[in-house]
Amino acid sequence: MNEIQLSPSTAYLILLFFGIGWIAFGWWLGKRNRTIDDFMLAGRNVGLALASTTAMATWITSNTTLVAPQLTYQFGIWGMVGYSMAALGLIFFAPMANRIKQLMPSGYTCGDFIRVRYGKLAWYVFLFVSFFYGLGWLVSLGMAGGILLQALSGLDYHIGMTIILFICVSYTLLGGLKAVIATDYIQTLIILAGVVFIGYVCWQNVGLETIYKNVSIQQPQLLNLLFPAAIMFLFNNIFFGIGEIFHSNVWWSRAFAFRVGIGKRAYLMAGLLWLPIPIITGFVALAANTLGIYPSSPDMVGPLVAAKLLGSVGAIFVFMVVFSALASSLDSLLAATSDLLTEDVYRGILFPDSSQEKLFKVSKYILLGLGITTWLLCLPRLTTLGELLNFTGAFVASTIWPVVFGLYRNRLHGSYAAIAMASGTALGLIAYFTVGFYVAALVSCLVSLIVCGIGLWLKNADFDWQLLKKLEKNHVS
Amino acid sequence: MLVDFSIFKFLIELALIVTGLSPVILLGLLIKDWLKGDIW
Repeated sequence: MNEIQLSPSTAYLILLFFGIGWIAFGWWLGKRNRTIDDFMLAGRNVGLALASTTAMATWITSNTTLVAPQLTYQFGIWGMVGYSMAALGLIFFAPMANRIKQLMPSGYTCGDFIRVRYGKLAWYVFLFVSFFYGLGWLVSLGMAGGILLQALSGLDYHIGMTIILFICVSYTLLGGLKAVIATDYIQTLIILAGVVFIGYVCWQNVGLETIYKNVSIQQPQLLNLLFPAAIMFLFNNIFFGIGEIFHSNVWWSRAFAFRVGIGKRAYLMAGLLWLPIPIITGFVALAANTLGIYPSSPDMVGPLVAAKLLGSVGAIFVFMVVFSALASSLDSLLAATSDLLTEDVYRGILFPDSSQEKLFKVSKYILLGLGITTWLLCLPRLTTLGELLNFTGAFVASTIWPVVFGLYRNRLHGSYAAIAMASGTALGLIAYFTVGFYVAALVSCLVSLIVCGIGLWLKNADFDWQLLKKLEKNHVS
Repeated sequence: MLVDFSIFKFLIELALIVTGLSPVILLGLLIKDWLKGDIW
């Protein structure tokens, strides 16, 4: 057992406490769910407080707490600033959230939008990108759960991963999006309190001047403003974060779920409050060398520093913060991906005439199936968290421009949107394997922009915005 | 070119202050929504 480990019994107690609490809360909230709108979209009337917090909580993932310190440890100041720039995704999505609600007041998923706006070809490409990303993120989170428990309590990776998935699937299944949003609120408060406490202790006990001096002597490249790979990472992460948010049903489903007029303020506030979090989790990693910590696995640098500063209390804090961060994203992703499978695959492709009652039942089976699939994919520990996360960058960044032009310009034709997403993903992946992970999203986004630009220049689709409203009304009736 | 210490210090301390205030802001918003009956 090393210095960051809890006793297995303490870990079990914490998991049991949170697990029972969240599952019971999910069951209580789910008692009033009567329709598919209640289950998938929390009744479409979520207020500002819960709306802001759920957007923020979902964006605070295990990667914010484990990978942000890892990237700071590897790329220095640009690592933490670059990671914090992922907040721009939330901030730029703010006006889009209002636009989405206005264009599709009865919409369910981002797939609905792509299908109506661009047609079937673009819809299929988009669904492929979206599911690949959704599963990649789910597996990344599930694996992080197993790694966390193993590193912090010595429990077997498979047992930890199974427990975390079981808890999140259970309360999401029982309470739907209401349970996800309500637990997100509690999880956010836990995360914020833990991050600030660890950051404050590091600031107070180690000191900024000591950290700065030691880093500038031992690893000056980490403070270098002209560190080329780190600068590329900064821009890559901006486009990656924007792509993740603009295309993903996690964020679209919230835009549909929030009360009219709330989306813009909620996403803006979430982005502004999220922005400093990776800077704190990253800054803690810069204290590693000062404290004589040289982690064998760089994604454990954050927990190691926290445990060194706070002892056994630090291990408990880290455990609770990372567990909450994992759960707040895992539940959202489970709900949003199963919505996409229910609405776009089950109803959209397989059974177009399904009633709302049937969809309500099916959505629960799909959620359960998705949880089991994620569990199966998490069984082998495939790669490090950062690598898996960045692999999906090539996919999501290709969707940025088709989504933006699709929402605001009626000129872009569906065939160009499909080519933009497919070619952006392909060339982004080539860049990932030939240059490095830190350019995949950048290349993908650029290629997609060029194709969309050509499309806007060559052809005018003259799309009728009313189709978005009409089609959704037909669907509801 | 290394980042200046004063900028480094400002960045970290600002992040700590904003994140420290976040729970207060979120709690305040929830109480406001609750009083207006606007939570859900």
